[in-house]
Amino acid sequence: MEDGGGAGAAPAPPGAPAGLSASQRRAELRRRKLLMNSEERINRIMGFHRPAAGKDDESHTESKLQHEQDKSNSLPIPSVSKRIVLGDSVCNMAGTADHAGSMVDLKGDKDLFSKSPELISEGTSELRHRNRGELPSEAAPRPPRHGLDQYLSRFDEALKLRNQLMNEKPSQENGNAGEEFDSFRIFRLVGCALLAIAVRAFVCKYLSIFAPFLTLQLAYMGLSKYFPKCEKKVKTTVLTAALLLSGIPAEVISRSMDTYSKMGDVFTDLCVYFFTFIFCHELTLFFGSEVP
Amino acid sequence: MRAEIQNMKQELSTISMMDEFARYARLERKINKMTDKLKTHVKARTAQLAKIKWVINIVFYILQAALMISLIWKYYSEPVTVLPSKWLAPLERLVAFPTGVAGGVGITCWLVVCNKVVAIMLHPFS
Repeated sequence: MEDGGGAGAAPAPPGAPAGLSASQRRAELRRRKLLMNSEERINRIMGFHRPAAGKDDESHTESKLQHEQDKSNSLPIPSVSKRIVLGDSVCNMAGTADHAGSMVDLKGDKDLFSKSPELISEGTSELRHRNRGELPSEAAPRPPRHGLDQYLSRFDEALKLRNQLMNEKPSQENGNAGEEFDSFRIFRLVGCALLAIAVRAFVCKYLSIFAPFLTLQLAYMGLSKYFPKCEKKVKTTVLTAALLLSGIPAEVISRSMDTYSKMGDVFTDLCVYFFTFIFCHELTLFFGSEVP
Repeated sequence: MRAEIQNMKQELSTISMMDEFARYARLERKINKMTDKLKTHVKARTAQLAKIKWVINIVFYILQAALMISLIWKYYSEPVTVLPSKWLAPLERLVAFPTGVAGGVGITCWLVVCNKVVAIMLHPFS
């Protein structure tokens, strides 16, 4: 097995057989360099910086992967199927630890990225048995497919991670999350309506009507811990997909969506509160003789 | 068409495949053809229904938007109700928009609030 990957700038690949002609070796080096460039670019886009000792690490992962490859002996499998297998393994890892999501991402990417040199080495090993004329037709489509694969695998991985994170929450706490969420929501709305009536009856003569509302929201924030957390159906919008594809971690997106939904909840509460308050006020004016 | 297919299936079950293979095969082909036709019809009808629903939704949204704009246009200077301005502090200007009346509840704010409340009320039915 040859070293593959990493040694793009080296004069000759360490594992390359001496039987290769100089032109073949040059072509191979050029190909490797191109592939490494695209890989680095994707790394940069994804926001993963390789440390200085990256080469050692890389060679380590490569040797590991090559070992796995030896085990499986399934090199001619198309890259797409490999992607799926990798995605699964990544997700299994993610399932074990919640907070290690980003680490898992990194690992996954590492694996994914280091898979490519393997493919390269595969390509080079094939190269030996091939004439020079066949080389460009085989080698040319590889880099774009490689990049696309990484994007797709990244997307799959992110989606799976997000689904897992969302599925873990209800399983930890309670099975009937949807109903509980509804009850909490109803509780919130009823609380807001009751507060509005109470405020109209007693408090509003002395201070702003929004002060009790804010207090109530603070109370809800505290109380939400004691209510089972619910799984909101994540709407995969174009924006979410675009953010995922642009390399923003799924966790960050899900958190921001969570914050956004919380703000929406507060706004809904405010609307209910204000509506009830005005309604009560009008009723008071209509039936009573109280003039504000 | 469904009844026809059902009848043919019943007929098919009465025919012995071994004894009258040709007839059996002919009938089966006929059933398959009819089933395909039915599927195509159902698909077309579903697509048509979806289209109608979509058009109705669009028309409804346009009407709603037009109604809101006309309401805001007509009552932009009249508050829906007037409260003591200190009750609405510190949002009195926002709530009063676009009337400019201190302590007033503007039509825009009221429409937003009503929309939200109606949406919540209709949520269990949707």
